[in-house]
Amino acid sequence: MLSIAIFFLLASVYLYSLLGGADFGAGVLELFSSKSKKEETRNLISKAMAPIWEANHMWLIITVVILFNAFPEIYTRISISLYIPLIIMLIGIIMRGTAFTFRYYDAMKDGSQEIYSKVFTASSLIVPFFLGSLLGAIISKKIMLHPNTFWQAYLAPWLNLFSISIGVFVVTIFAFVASVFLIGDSHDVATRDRFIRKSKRTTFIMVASGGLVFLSSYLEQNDFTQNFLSNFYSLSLIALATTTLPYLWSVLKKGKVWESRIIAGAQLLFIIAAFYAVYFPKVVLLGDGDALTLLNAAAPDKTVSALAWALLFGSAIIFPSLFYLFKVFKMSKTISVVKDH
Amino acid sequence: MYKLRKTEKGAGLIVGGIPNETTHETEYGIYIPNMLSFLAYGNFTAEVKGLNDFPKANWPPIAVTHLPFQAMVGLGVAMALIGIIFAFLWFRKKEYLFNRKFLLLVALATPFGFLAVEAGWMVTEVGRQPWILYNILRTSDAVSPVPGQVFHLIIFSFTYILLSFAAFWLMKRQIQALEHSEQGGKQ
Repeated sequence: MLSIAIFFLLASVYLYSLLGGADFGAGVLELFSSKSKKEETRNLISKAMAPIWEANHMWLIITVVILFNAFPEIYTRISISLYIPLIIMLIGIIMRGTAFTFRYYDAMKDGSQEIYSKVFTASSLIVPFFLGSLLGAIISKKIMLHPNTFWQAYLAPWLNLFSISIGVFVVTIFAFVASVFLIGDSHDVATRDRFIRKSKRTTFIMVASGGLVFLSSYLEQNDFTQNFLSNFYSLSLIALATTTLPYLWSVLKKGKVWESRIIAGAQLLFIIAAFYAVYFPKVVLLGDGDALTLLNAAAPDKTVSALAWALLFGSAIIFPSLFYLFKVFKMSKTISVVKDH
Repeated sequence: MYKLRKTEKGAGLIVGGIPNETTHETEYGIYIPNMLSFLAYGNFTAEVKGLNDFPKANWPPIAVTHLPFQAMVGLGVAMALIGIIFAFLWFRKKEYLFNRKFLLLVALATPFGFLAVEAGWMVTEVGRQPWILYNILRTSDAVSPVPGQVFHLIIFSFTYILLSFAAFWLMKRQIQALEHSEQGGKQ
């Protein structure tokens, strides 16, 4: 039963990175797109995201619920030691959703659109950054059970080079996923070519910022790089993610939308799995050398199996309906394009 | 949630009134004999446990629980009465349905439902104090050790106040845009 809970935890983290990540990444792309093309990018993003962006946050909620129920110690540790990035993330998610909805539905398209866009793009950058720094913090070995100062307790874990570099890395991964996903949503050749170029650029930036993670691990003198390089699974997964890049580009060139989406999704899976593998089943590495793992921090069997059953029954409802949602909004794009013109 | 001081069989219900925090008596209320026993157990003579039978350390704040409870019930009754008036007018005096005073009454009652829900929420949340998990965990033991909780309260209150104003502003613009398109035709 515990393995079911662990499976759903890892799966929902992955799905949030994939689907929520594509949404955040779209905002990041808008933020960094050239002024002349901003309007075009904005319209494309609105069209692609509008119907389903709320559904994607479900995975974050499921992640939190699984942690809360099945791994309460991990939940407690994260929400105490990392409450500052968590609060910033939360407010960012609220602001982002609000601004996006307002921009889309406001009956008057005037100067206020600029404000909505600023809030939307800024929070699209802030949320994944702090999500990443939070993920960096839990493996940075800087979380103390008995801290002496405020700095040690609430700031040091995430306010260091290593955690920040993972924050940057997560932003670039999300931008990469979004750029590949949006290619399929663009319906004229010029925009499509622009997004193909964009996704090549984001790939390079992603790889470079991945390098920064290892560099910062060296500068912070933690054993992440060492563990990563000596872990067979991590190495082979990263090798897989890298070697499939040329394949992705050739598929992009041919304009095969669904193939490129699936490959980008698989590459994201490889990257995340490579990171999971380094310390699995440890989740929170503590300053004193101890760790909270998915095994030692688990709730009593009764709680875990109740949750596992709930997840199994729930997914029997959620997955078909999600599939239907995507089918309706994503695959019928051609029809809506015809209607728009 | 309803406040009863002493354990008794066939307990009565006090409608309205103001709880006195020092004497723990409810003043100026209307007393309905045996009603509380009926509401709680469906039996006019059932025994209802009073507050005095619980240790004082486990008492919820009485006034904060009692007043919203009265408000919730009062609002519910008011809404039911308006419904009855409406049904009466519908069947008997249809011409009064669009009477200005009746429409004003209906308009005034618009927020009643929301207020009743909020009041009920206060009753349950305050009424279960000092427990966050009844008889298992006290709220005071469940608080995060993170310092500066008051800032969280301020930040989130501010966020939601901001969002409420934004929602009002947005609704106003929707209506304005509608009027505009009605005046100028579809543009």
